Amino acid sequence: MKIEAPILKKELLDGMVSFRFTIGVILMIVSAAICIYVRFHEYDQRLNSYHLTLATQQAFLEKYAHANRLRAVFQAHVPPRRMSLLLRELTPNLDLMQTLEDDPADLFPPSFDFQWLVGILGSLLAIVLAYDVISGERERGTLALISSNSVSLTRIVIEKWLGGNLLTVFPLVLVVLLTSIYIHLNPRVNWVVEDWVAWLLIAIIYAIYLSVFFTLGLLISCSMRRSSVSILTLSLLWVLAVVFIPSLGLPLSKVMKRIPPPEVVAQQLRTIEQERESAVRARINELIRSGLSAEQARWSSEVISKPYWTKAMRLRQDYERQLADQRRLARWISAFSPTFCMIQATSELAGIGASSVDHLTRSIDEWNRLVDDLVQRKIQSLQVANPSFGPDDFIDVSDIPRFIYREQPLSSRWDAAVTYIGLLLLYETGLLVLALLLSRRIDVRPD
Amino acid sequence: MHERWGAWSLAKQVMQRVILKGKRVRRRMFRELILKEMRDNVRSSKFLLASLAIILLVIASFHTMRADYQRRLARFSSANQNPSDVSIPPNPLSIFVKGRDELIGRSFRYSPTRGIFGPNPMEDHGVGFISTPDLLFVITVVMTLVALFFSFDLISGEREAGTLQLVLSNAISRDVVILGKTLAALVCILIPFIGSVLLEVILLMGDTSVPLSLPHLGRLGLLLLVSVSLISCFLLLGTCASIVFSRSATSLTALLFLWAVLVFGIPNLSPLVAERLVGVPSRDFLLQRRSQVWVKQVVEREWAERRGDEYSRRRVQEMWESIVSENRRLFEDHQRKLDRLVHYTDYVSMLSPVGCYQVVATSLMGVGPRDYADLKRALARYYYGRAIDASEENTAPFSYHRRALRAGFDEGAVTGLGVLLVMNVLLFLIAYTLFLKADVRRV
Repeated sequence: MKIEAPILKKELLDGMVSFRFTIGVILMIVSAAICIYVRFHEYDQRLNSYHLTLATQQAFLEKYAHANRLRAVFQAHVPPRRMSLLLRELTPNLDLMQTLEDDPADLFPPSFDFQWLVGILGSLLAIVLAYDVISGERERGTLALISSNSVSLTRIVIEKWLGGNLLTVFPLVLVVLLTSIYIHLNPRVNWVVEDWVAWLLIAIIYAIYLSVFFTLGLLISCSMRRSSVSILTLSLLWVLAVVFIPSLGLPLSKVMKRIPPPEVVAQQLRTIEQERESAVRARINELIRSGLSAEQARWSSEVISKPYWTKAMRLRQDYERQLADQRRLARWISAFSPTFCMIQATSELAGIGASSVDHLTRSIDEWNRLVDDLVQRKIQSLQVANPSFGPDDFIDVSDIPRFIYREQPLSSRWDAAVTYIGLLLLYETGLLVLALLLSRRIDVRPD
Repeated sequence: MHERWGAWSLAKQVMQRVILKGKRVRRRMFRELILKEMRDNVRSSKFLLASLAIILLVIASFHTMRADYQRRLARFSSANQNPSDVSIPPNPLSIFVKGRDELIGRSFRYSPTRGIFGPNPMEDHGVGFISTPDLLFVITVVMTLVALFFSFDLISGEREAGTLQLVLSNAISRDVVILGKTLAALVCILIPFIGSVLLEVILLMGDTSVPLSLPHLGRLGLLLLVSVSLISCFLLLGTCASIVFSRSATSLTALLFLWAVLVFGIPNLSPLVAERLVGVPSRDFLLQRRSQVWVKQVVEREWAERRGDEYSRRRVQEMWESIVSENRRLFEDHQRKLDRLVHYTDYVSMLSPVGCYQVVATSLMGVGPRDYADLKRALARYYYGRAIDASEENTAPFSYHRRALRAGFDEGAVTGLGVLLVMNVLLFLIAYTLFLKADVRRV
C-alpha cells in the first residue's frame, strides 16, 4: 500500500533546504562536540580524584586505624556515575552541615551537558521550525491554494506535524549516533548493556520533548494570524517553560511548606549530644568509684549513649522526611514545565536523579551498618584473645569490605522516571488535540 | 585685497549658515526619526506582548524573591547563637540578584574534625538552566530576548517594505539612522521594565521587613544603568543581523540561536573550561584529608603516652595548634585554587555580554563568588587565628564587612563593565560599517 503524503514530503524538502534548519543542525553538532570534549575531561578528573581518595584512605588506614577513631577515616567514597559523562551529576551532598570546602559545582550550578543541548538548543530549533508552519502559509496565500484541493485542514495539520517532527528529531538522531560511536570507541568508558538501553530510552525522551515544543509551535501558529506575533509569543512561552517555571518550584515550595531551618535542627542535635556526654561522664565517674579502671569504665559506659543516639536519629529522620516533602512539592510545581519533566526523567534513567541519591544514601547506610558490625565483632574477638586490648589500639581492617557503589537497576530507574515521561506524553497529546481542534476554525484567506 | 576679504567673509557666512541649517535639519530629522520609530513600536502588538510579559515577570520575580529573603531573614533571627558562632544576615539586595547569598548569609562554627562549617543550603541544583527567578534572570534572559525582537527587522524590515530608500533620500546620514532606530527601540523596551522595577522598589521601601538603605538604592540604580548597556548591546547585535540578512525571518532565526549561545551557552560552559585549566580537588578528598589530620595527631599523642612520654600542657597545646595550622593550610590551598577557578570562569564568560553583565551585577550587589571568598577568609582568620585555650570572651571579635562599592568594582567587575562598553562601541561601529556598504534597494 502506497501512502500518499504530498504535504509531508513538501514540508520535509522545504525544511531541509531552509537556512534555519541548516544553522540549527550545525549548531547542535558543534555544541555536542564541545559538550562531549569538556564533559569527558571533567569525568576523567572526577574518576582520578576518586582513585586518589581511595589510595590515600588505604595508606592512612594501614598506619592509623584505631578502634576508637576508625570511622572518622574509614568512610564510603562514591565514584562518578557512568552516565554522568553526558549528563551533569547532582553532588550527593545531603549532609545537614556543609564545610567551607565547596565543590566547584556548588559555586556554578548550571552546566553544559546534553540536558542543555536538547533542553535549550533543541527546543529553540523546534519552535523556530514551527512558528510559521500554518501562519506563514496563510500570509503567503498558499494555505488557501492547498485547501482548495480535496485536503482537509486537519490532514494538512497532521502532515505538517509529522514532517516538522521528523525535521526536529533529525539533528538529535545525528548527535546521539555520533556520541554513541565516540563512547563505544573510548577505552576509558565501560558502559554495560543496561547503560546502552538507558541511553536509548533517554534519546526517545529527548525526541518526545522536542516534539512537545514543535506541537506548541504548531498550536500557536494555528491560532495567530501573523508569523511575527507567533514567534514572539512562542519565545515568551519558551522562556516560561524552559527557564522560569523550573526555577520557581524550589522558592515557592519553601514558602508554601515551611520546615524548621537546619540551624535549629543542628542546635537540637548538639543539645542531645551535650546531654549524652554529661550522662556518659557521670556513668564513668560512678564506675571508677566502684573500682573499675578509667579505660574499662569508658568502655562499659558506651551503653548509656544508645537512647541519645536513637533520639538524635529520630530527629534527623523527621527533618529529612519534612525536607523530602518540601522537595516533592517543589518538583510538582516545576513539573508544569515540560523541560523540568524531561530533565527529571532523563536524570532518573541515567542514574543521577533524586531516586539515585536515595539509593546511594541507602547503600552507604547499609555499608556503614555492615562495617560497624564487623568492626565490633573484630574488637570483641581481639579482646578475647588479648584482654588488655583497648580503644586506642591498632585494628587491621584490610579484610573488611570497602564501599562499592552499585548503580540502581534499570527497572528502578524506569519506575522513578515513568511519571515524568507520562506527563511529557500528556503535554504532547493535549497540545496536539488543541492544535487539531483549532485547525478546524482556521481562516485560510491571506491578510 | 579689501574686496577679496569681503567675498571671503560672505562665503564664510553662507557656509556657516548652510552648516548650521544642515545641523538643524539633521537634528530635526533625528528627532523625527526617533519619534516615528517610537510611535511605530508602541502601536505594534510586539510592544504590547513584550510589555505584558516584562511587567508580569518582574512582579512575579519580586514577590518570589521577597518571600525567599523574608524566609532567610526569619531563619537568621531564629538561629540559636553560641558565643563562638558567626552569623551573617541575608543581603537585602539578594532580592534583586541572589548570586551566592544563600552561601554567604548563614551561621558558621568550627570543630577540629570538620573545620569551619555551616548549614547546607540544600539548593536543588540541576532542576533547570537558572537557579533563581530573580531580576538578573529577567534582565539576562527576558530583556535580551525582547531587545532582539525589537531590532531583528530594524533595517531588513524597512528594506522589505521598500521604505529604506525613502528614509535615506532625506538629508540624514546612515549613522543617525542606526542610532535613532536603536535609541527608539531602547526607550520602548525600558519604559515597561524601569516602570515595573521602580514600582516594585517603591512597594519594597514601604515594607519594614526589608531594610533597603540609600547605598542599597544607589547600587540598584547602578545595576539598572549597567542593564541598559547590556540591552543596548543586544539591540545593536539585532541591528547588525538586520543589516547583514536581507530577510527579517532569516535575521530572527540567526539571532535566536546566537542568543541561546550568548545567554546559556558561554556562561554555562565557562566553569567547565576553567576547571580544565585549574584542577580543584574534590570535596570528598578534602574532607578526608581534614579527618586524617586530626586522627593522626591524636593517635600519635596516644602512642607517645603509651611509650611513657609525658604530654605536657604545652605539648597538648602544640598538638592542637598543629591541627589548626594544618586545617588552615588545607583551607588556604583550596581557596587559592577556587579563586583561580573563579578568575578564569569570569574571563571565559566575558566572551559573552551576558557573562560580563553577570560578573558586574553579582559584584555590584555584593553576592558574587569574590564576596563569598572574602567571607571565607574572614572566617578562617577568626577561627584559625584564635589561641587554642583562650576563653571565648577573650578572643578578638569576628569582623567581616561586605565590600564597599569601589572595592567591589576593583577586580573582575571593572573588566566586565569595560568589556561590555567596548562591545557596545564595537557593535555600533560594525553596524555602521555594514550599513555603509549595504544595498538599500527593496529585496
